[in-house]
Amino acid sequence: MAQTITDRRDVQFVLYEQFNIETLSKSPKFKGLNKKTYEMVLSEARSLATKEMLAISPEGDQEGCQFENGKVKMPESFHRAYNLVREGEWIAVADDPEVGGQGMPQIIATSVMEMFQGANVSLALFFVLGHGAGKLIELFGTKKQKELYLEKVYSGEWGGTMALTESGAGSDVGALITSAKKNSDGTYSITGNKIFNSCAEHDFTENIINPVLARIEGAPAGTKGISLFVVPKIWVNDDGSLGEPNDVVCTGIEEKIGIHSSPTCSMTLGGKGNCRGTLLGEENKGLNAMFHMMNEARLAVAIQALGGASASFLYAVNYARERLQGKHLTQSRNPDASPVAIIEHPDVRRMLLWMKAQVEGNRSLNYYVAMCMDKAEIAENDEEKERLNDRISILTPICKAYTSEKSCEVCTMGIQVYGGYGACREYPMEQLLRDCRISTIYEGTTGIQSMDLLSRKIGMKKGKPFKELLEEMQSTVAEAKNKPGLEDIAVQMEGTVTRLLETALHLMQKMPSNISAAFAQSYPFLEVCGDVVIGWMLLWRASVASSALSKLLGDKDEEKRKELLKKNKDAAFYDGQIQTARYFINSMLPETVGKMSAIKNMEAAPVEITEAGFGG
Amino acid sequence: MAQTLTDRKDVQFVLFDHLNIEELTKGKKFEDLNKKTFEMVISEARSLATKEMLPTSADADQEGCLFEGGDVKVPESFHRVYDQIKKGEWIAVADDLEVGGQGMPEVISLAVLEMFHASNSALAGFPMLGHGAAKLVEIFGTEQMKKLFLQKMYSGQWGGTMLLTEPNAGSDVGALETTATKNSDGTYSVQGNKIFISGGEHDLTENIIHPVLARIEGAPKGTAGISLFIVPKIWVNDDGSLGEANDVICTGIEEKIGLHGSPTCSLTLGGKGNCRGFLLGGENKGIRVMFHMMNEARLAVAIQALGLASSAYLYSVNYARERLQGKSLTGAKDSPQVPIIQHPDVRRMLLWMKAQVEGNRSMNFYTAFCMDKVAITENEEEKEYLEDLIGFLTPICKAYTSEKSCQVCGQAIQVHGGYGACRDYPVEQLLRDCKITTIYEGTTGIQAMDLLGRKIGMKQGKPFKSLIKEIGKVTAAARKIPDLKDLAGRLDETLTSLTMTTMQLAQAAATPKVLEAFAHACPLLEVFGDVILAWMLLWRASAASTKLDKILGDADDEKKKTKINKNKDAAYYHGQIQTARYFINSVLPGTIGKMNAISNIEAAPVKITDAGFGG
Ligand SMILES: Cc1cc2nc3c(=O)[nH]c(=O)nc-3n(C[C@H](O)[C@H](O)[C@H](O)COP(=O)(O)OP(=O)(O)OC[C@H]3O[C@@H](n4cnc5c(N)ncnc54)[C@H](O)[C@@H]3O)c2cc1C
Ligand SMILES: Cc1cc2nc3c(=O)[nH]c(=O)nc-3n(C[C@H](O)[C@H](O)[C@H](O)COP(=O)(O)OP(=O)(O)OC[C@H]3O[C@@H](n4cnc5c(N)ncnc54)[C@H](O)[C@@H]3O)c2cc1C
Repeated sequence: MAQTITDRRDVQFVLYEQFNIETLSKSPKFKGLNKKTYEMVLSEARSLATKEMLAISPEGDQEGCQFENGKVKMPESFHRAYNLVREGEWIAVADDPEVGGQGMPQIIATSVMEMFQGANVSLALFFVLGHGAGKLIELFGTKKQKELYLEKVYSGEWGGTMALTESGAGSDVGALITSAKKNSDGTYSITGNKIFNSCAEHDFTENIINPVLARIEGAPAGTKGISLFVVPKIWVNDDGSLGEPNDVVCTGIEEKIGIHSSPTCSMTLGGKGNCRGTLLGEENKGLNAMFHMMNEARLAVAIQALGGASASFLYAVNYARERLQGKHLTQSRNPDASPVAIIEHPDVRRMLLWMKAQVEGNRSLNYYVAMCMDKAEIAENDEEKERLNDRISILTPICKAYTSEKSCEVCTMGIQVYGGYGACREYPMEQLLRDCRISTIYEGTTGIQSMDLLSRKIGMKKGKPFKELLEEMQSTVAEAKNKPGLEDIAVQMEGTVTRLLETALHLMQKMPSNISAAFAQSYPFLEVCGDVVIGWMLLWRASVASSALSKLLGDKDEEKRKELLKKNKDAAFYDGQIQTARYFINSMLPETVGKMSAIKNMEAAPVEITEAGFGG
Repeated sequence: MAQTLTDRKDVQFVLFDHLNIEELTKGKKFEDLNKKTFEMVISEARSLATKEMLPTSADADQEGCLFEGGDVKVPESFHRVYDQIKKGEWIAVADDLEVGGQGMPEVISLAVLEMFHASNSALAGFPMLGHGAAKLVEIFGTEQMKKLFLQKMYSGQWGGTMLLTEPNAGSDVGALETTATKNSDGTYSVQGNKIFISGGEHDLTENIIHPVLARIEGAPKGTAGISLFIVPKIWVNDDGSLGEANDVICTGIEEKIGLHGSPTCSLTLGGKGNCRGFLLGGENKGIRVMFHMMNEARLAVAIQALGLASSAYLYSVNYARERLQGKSLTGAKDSPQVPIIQHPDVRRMLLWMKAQVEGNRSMNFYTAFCMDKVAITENEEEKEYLEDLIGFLTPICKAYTSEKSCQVCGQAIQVHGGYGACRDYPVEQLLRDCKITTIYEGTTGIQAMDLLGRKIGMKQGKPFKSLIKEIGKVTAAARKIPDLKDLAGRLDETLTSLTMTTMQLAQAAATPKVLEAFAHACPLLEVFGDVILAWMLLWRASAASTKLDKILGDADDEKKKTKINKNKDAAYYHGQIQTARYFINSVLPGTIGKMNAISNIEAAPVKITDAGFGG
């Protein structure tokens, strides 16, 4: 049967051939794990995703969440799937067994999450949020807090959220006005209104644990005065039993373009003066705590987008193989020619190959970052650890922004491959686009990520992490130069990486004297960085595939090679890797180079045009 | 109040300063018209669109169409507004007074249609389809048919559709299987199943007239054997009275990503053997007849997309002016939140949207303007020249404008942040409504094949050369304007690359590398679109520059700045120059990169095996 969600072969290729993750098992932390255990975990997750989560996704889209009297009702069918995820302990895949996790590497958890997201974004978000809330408590909680909440949240018995946004505080978290006042018993009374609070009210679990950002009375303005609190929906007594409702009231949910069965809640905290929370971490250090979570949360959103894009791509390939329409281009004047499957049309192949390049390149990128996290965990010295953490930090805004933007484009292209059917609800494509749309917005919009990259990440530590990243790319290039079929694209890639460095230097140099014009280039700059990273990942893949293919082909002649490619699935896969890299580097990167020239122009028009000049 | 549909000033500028359509009134056909009449028409249409059509759009999106027992109910609120469209005679804006039209130029009718789509695209589809069907009757119908149908259709008393698509015949119309058999009375019995028929059934009008593509029994395979029939929903007797229902049954409607107020119908024709139609335009001439309509229909879809994009842009500008979030990038630490329009990245988004909306507006209006010039010219050579341009530009208008408009709507959501994803704000609906425009009336892929496979090589490349010549005129003029000299130079260089890239690809298409070449058809169409946009924006900037100079006189730089900030007109003209600067300096270098990519004619899309795609 045709695969849906993620391509098993491709995931295996990334894990075991491109990144060779079995080497992680050499460390004490992952000792005992091996390919077999990984495959078992992934295959169970795949089965849960395809059989349970995917099946109910369209229904969830149609039905949505129901809001009534402060309560949110989830689609009926979602309860069963939520419970299966709980039972399978899928919320804390990469966490310590001590706290109830499965102890897997982050890269495996990422791969699991990609499948969950590809199957059913709305549902998967519950687990992302639950896990995030749990992680905050694990990292910053007191012993007591951990005792009360951790196991319950990681197990999914209770839900979790993340309450940052207010109507006046979206991108600018520092503007929030929810307040906290210390009580004599050490708790804090919380008062304020949060909006866009995902999963803050629902009927999956008896309790919901909200990490809430608020300002303690008298604290400084801006981000420096923000503290983090654990605010349960139902108060949890010292002995762990449930107390009274904690005056956390849902006043409505949003109707949105997508993720219809993810409740996006407006919450009033302490409307009756009875909402209490406990401080998580230190006073005024709320944002610090949040920053800790940011890498994980941003990567999670990238994976959400990637999962949707991957599903869209696989549907499109399968559809293109089956949909008969139009004659073969070389037969277009033959009235008796039969229609062919649209995958035979060059333009459809172009669309599919572009989608493939994006999905696979972004998969490698995000898995790579997850692997860096794993490696940082087991690093033997501080230097190595720092190097890895820097790598993660520079790539995170790219993952978040580039993967989400490109995934939306992939989902759009998926509709196009389906023609008119793509626009119809009977087919999965339009929902995938709608569900993906939000990924470029939350956890920091694309614009915010771009500013992070340009203003903080590129120049950090005198540009060392950035330069090291480019050096790493060049070593992939060096290797690829010796591989048959990759020489020319390796050279092309080499030049492009050099151009990227020049572009970055140019931008950094001009920035101080022309800060506004430079920041008008922040997204274009992030985008070219993303393109180059994808080029790198695809070349890396091709390089690994080229060796594997050579082994399969031996020294067969051209004819026999062709035959083998047709017959042998592995050979076709490896060749496909090479073709994908060729396509991306020869057909996409030239545009990237053009975009770099555009950035270097630093055109000031966006800054110089007057507000009235925009019209309206 | 802030504008939400199309920018009034910009539309005026395109019509009267940039394209200078008043020139048309020199032609006999338009001699009774003038700027004032044009503006009156547009302003009335704007008022209808803003006051009546727009308020029903969000409701219709929520409510959708109801299908029950073969009947389709459109959203309740549409009835009243449709009546007003009828009363205002908005269906036949550019048609002859004799047949019930307003006799306006095409370009004015496009400006009207743009507003209608900007305000309520689902509803605007009804007059658009009605017009297309009526036009077929006008051009190809017999006297009797015209008598029976024309006035009723152009007035909107009866609806119209277009029945091409079948389950196995989408992009490949030639594969259709609906049949027609001649009856002794000269009518034809029609039998088959059509899908995706917009407005195929509804309760806005008492009758619906379906132009249907079908194959007469025994006719050749493929497009050469297709004929066109007029199939009314309710039979129309010789005296014009309504007869029996004509066995045209709606079996269902699609649930779609957008355009919820527009019913997309599955129709069974002649399920009981009782469906009759009149042949229109000769046996086996169906595709030829359709081709006549294609330019108009494709341009109409481009305008639909453009209207939505224009609205998305205006909502975004207005929102960005009001939404306070974040400090100024250059402000002090404790400075207050500023409207997001002050953030460079938001300005970049807005300016990109502006360039797309205005550039695409100019491109489409220009194409319509060419049609109007064809209608008044007596010079055969000029006529051919213009028709070549229209033919060349049409696939680009259809594909490029629709693709970019979807991107503009996507960007509008981004400008709105989280609110953009919510139904309380209008932009997510605009994106959903826009999505279909890249698909119907020939997908983007089909348009690109038309460009590479037919239009570029047509008449030994004459239309292509004409286009290059027209662009060259604008760059030559812009070179004389000091502020635009560098931009004109850049565009000229780009033109040289475009010519080379095009020749290279067209040559490859004529060799065994034909598959590789066609894998680059869409990228080629896109670079054409980019270059045409740059041309249009530079043209605008040239016209604006003259106007701006007049306002600014020879004041010093400081004073000029003040004036630009204070005087709305000055700000507008200055904005035109900035938009051109942005597009040519920040977007066009990417286009040149794309041309380099095309020149690589990378074979990977062809070489990769089917299995290599995975899945
Ligand atoms: C479905 C959904 C679920 C969500 N879930 C959660 C959740 O669980 N918890 C939570 O706390 N929040 C959540 N959010 C909120 C989300 O994180 C915010 O919407 C997001 O941070 C953007 O804020 P905003 O909507 O106020 O947009 P704004 O901040 O107003 O941004 C509008 C535009 O301005 C740009 N912009 C803003 N400031 C700047 C600047 N300084 N420089 C350059 N550009 C700028 C932005 O990039 C954007 O394009 C959710 C939102 C949605 C829609
Ligand atoms: C909302 C809506 C309204 C519509 N309204 C009408 C209407 O009023 N009347 C009407 O007749 N039809 C209508 N249509 C149908 C529409 O015109 C078709 O959907 C469209 O022509 C594409 O056909 P298809 O859906 O069969 O896709 P397909 O033809 O199957 O195309 C699928 C994909 O393959 C590509 N492809 C197909 N053939 C080739 C080829 N030879 N070379 C390269 N690529 C190719 C396409 O570009 C597309 O990406 C409507 C559709 C929708 C969704």
